Amino acid sequence: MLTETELVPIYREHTAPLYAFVSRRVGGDRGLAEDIVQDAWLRAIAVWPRRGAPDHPRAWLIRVARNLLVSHFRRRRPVPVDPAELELEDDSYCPETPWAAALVSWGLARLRKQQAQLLEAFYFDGKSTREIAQEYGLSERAVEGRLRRARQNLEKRLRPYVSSDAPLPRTKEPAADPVAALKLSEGGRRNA
Amino acid sequence: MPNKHEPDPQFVENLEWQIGSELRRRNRAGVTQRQSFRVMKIAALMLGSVVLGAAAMGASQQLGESWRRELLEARLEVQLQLAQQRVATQLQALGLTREQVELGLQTDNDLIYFELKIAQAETDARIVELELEELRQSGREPLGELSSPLVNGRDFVSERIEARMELARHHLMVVQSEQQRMQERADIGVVSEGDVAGQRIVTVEAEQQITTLQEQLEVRQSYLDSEITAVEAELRLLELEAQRQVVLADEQRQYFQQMLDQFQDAISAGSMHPAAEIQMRTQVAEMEAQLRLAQAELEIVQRELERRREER
Repeated sequence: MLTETELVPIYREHTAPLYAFVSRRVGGDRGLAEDIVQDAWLRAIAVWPRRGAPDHPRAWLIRVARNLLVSHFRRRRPVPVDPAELELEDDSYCPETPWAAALVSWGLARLRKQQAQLLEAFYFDGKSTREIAQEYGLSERAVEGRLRRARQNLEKRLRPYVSSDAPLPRTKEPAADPVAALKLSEGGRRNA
Repeated sequence: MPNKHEPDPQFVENLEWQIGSELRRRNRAGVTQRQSFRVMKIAALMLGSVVLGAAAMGASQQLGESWRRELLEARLEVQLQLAQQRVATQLQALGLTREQVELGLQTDNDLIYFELKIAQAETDARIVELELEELRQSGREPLGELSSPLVNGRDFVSERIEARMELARHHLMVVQSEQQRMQERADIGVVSEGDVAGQRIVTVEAEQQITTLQEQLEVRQSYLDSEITAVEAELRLLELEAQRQVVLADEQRQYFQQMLDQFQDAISAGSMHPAAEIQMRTQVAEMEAQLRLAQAELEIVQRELERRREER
């Protein structure tokens, strides 16, 4: 039986990283991030007493949180976003607003898992192609190729929802051509 | 300036309290225990408490040290404030969503989703409010067992179950509407029958939740009317949980079996890799094992209940 004494140190060690993982994927939407983190912990409480706490609790919690996010974004219909808020080809891009993050996460929830994870690592965790290559045991060139294909798929999904007439608050001036603003050219990377 | 990806310390503290309470509740109820002797042990312990008398039991539950009571009261007060803030935030979000629906940017489904979130937040607030009131009136930790005593003639246990029931009804309404929408989309070929079957599990779970809560209320009433003993009341609670698990495990087993059949067809047609079948077979086997386990638990609890009825 898992006791509260065993649970509390695990909780204190892993809650902040778990929250950060979720928060980055929802563009800092506190209400949503708190709901997902809470759900992930409640699932842990439902399973761990029966099977014991996993060897790597954070990996377990993050897997559950990712599934909850995918499930959440599969149910939701995205709100159109200003193209200036989606610079998907920028290596340092991370969706900063809840609506941009919601749209990207909505698109990722509709991609194949491998492609979604690759893009997640790139956009939300800020990993470089080198780091991703090391993690997946691939060459950097292979990662770049996969990222390019994944971006193309993501672009197709997001295109109907990228509009310079987006009604939500904007932080930047809208670009003239919404699709071009996605900067998802065949080249794969945005020129500096 | 705090990092926006860092959690609010109050949220972290509140959640720690919540999962701690949930873990204690689960450990107390023993719903996760698998071995029959565990069920017997719980029953024996509860019987011991009854034999020793309600007074002794009550005394052990009193928060003798005033600082403990104060600490718990402070925590509940903070929890109540948080829950009320959550209601206010969700109401604001609902207002924004309504505007978006009027502009045609979001659908009615988004509204339903927010209304459910508000109902959830209101229920959380109501339950904490009841716990705080119970603490203040009784001077001890709020009790959730079906055999808990009344407090100044007031039945806090049933009041909390009724609050949960209201939320469960709301939730059922939402999942039923989603089920209907999914079926309509399946009829025109936008989603697969597998998706419909997956949604069906969610609906069954929501229906089971209501059934379980209704039966909990009935068991509680039987206990208060002295028709059953405290041990029987808690055994009935274990029985309800086991029955719920049987229904859900069976529904999930059927779903995975249906998916397996579809996978086999796709593999035969050459549109799917054979490795997918192995994974799905494992899922089916796991659900079958869970179903057998739930049935075994149900049988043990029912046997013990029967034995006690005969003794009475």
